[in-house]
Amino acid sequence: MTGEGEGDGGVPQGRLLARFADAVVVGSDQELDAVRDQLSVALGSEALVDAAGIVAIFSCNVRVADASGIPLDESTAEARERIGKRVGIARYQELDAGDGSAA
Amino acid sequence: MNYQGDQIPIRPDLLQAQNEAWERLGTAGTWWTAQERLAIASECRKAHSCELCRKRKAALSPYGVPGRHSGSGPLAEVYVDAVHRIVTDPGRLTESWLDSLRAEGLEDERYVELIGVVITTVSTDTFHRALDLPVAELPSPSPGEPSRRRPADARRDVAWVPLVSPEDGLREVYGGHSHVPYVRQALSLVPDEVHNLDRIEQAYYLPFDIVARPDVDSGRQLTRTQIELLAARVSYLNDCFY
Repeated sequence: MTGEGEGDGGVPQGRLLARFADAVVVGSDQELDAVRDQLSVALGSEALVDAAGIVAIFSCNVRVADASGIPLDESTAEARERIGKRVGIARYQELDAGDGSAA
Repeated sequence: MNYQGDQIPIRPDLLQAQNEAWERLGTAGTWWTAQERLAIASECRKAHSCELCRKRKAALSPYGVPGRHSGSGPLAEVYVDAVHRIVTDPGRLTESWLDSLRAEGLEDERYVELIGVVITTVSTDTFHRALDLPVAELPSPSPGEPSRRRPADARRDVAWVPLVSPEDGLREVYGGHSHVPYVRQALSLVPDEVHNLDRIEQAYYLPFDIVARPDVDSGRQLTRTQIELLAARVSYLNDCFY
């Protein structure tokens, strides 16, 4: 997943979800307030909670991986590729939240 | 944490996992006392306003910016540096950096438990920020001493820290779940931190038994595609390979 852009990446509300992740991880409070409201309207408050949980736990997984020096195991890479194809994200590394080139 | 009055529909299983993890911060761990674990959690929050961390984050290389982290507390400077770097700049951690901390007295067992405390704090704080909830108050410390139990089968191999292999620790460390990617092994030098991460991972993300089965209804209000997009985006934003 690289770069920035404006599309949905073939994922329903993908652009909005990516903006939400951006706002939580690196955005200002004002940016986050705005996108949170949009996401709640678009997908509902329960989906907003689920999205917050995903951002929260992957903010941890990256730290576990980076701090422990684990390699990316083959089974995980294969599972991600397989899941990515089945759910419509063929290649994570090329998924761009904006330009829609990934699906 | 109960979120009563916040009018936010937190799933009961998620609320339970959060509360269990949060309460653990205030109890003695395997290598740190309750007070020390709470000091690590507190240091996580201080890192966001640390001037040295800000300068290092902005630098081409964080290793060319000397100095001391702002704030004071009961933790030795070597552990303060570990907390601040993991919180503010995890994508540029190196084995050489960890070796330099070891040379100053960092112990692997304490370091791994420290990672566990950091992720409990970061997950809760990130969740609260995402939903515009107030910062959670840290729990009060409970009496008790660290158990100081080190898995006999932990070995240094593919990671910077010793791991317990799935073959050696499938039942005691990994709860019998046969899918044991490295991210589950990463904290295995301190099995209680694996158990904690397992609980919050399955509550925030997905139960292990459906992670590899994207066609199964997860019960979440996001589709699997949307979930994986969010996950990939967060990894990208953190410069993470994983």
